[in-house]
Amino acid sequence: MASKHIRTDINFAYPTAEIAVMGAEGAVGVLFRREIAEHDESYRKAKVAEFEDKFANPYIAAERGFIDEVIEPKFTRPKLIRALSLLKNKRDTNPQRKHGNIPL
Amino acid sequence: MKPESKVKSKIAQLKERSAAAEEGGGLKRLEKQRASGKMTARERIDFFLDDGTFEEFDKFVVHRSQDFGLEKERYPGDGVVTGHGLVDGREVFVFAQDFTVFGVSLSETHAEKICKIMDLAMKVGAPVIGLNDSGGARIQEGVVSLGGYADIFLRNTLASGVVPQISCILGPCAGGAVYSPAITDFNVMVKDTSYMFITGPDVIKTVTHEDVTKDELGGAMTHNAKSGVAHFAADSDEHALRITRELLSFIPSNNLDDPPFVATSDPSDRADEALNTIVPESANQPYDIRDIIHGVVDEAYFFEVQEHFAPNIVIGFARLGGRSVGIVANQPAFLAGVLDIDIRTILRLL
Repeated sequence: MASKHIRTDINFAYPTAEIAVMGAEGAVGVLFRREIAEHDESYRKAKVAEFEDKFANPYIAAERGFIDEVIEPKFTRPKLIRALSLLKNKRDTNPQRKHGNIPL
Repeated sequence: MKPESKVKSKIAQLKERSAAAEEGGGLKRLEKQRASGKMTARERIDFFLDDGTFEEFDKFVVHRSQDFGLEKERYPGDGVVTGHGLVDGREVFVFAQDFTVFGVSLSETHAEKICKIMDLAMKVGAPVIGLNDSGGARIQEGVVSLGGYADIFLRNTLASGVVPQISCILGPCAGGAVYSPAITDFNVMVKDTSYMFITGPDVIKTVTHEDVTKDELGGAMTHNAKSGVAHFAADSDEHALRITRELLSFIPSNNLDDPPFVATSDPSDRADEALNTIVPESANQPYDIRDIIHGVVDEAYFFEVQEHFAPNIVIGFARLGGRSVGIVANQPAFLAGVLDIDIRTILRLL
């Protein structure tokens, strides 16, 4: 939600954020279904830990520039006020259209 | 090597690469897709477009992922066939997801291919038709795959009201794969083979302890009759594609064009005696509004939209004197035609 891709101007993340398709348990269950069936529980747990270590953080997204800045939580207020002040004269354009997105 | 044989070998190489790309995830998987009563991605495009008019883009695109062994598994085209072609002589853009490649999970490059044709469609003012058959995000790619979805969503919202966007759901579509079709203008689903849900019955069972079948949760009739997300329920892939072709004949290619004019032999001064007697004398007596519509429009032909949803109101397209018209009608034959919340469906048509 509210990602850079849908034109959010500034994206911050806490160091504790987890930005991924799904949680480690679910993802490991899908990616290693065959291997898990063949091994015991400790194998699965090791894979979950490995996945969490690698992906359950904001840094994969930050490496891509999807996140502008990973911030220390204590600076949330000044960061937001500074960003809003930067954007107060923001201009953007959309194509001319007949109607907006359809009502759901 | 002689210069001409060098050229020959390069042309042979192109043909080889091209043939390999057309195999998608392999002949064995393509056969499996056919055996389950479904067409393959390329068969769908060929059936949908006027014969021999498909121009393909990005046939050799492969994903860029380096994780989970994906780097050893690359299929040219990356699970989606994209390009443009003609429907009744009019230009349209089309993408068809190929279930034989990674269960057609959406990768960064897969999304880039779709975005490319959407951008071009908005520039030239032509409809975008999505032939969807996707399991969702490519988990191995993580946030990059999700970013790809968001790129598509942004274009869905920007293109809305600029060019028509039509989705055919031709297989089990789950997770990220269903948000985009849900915000396009029209959705065509196939009974018994297509599904739209955020997550399948297994996860519902785990989370809410409810037993629900795939059909109840997100089958063609659930979305046609209950949620109103879908507008047409087709009997087969072929039927869904024929409906989409016909739908296009009633709508303009963009916000500045007119819909196609279709000459009719139905005289414009034709008076229909039957119309004088269809509406009953008593206001309490129901009748079928479709009888009136049929008596009025060209050749009595009414192309109904959302036939199964909110039966107290009837909507669809027809032609009057060759010009396409949208019809919104109260239906006295159901709930005495009173309007309730489900008439939000007409807002879509308007």
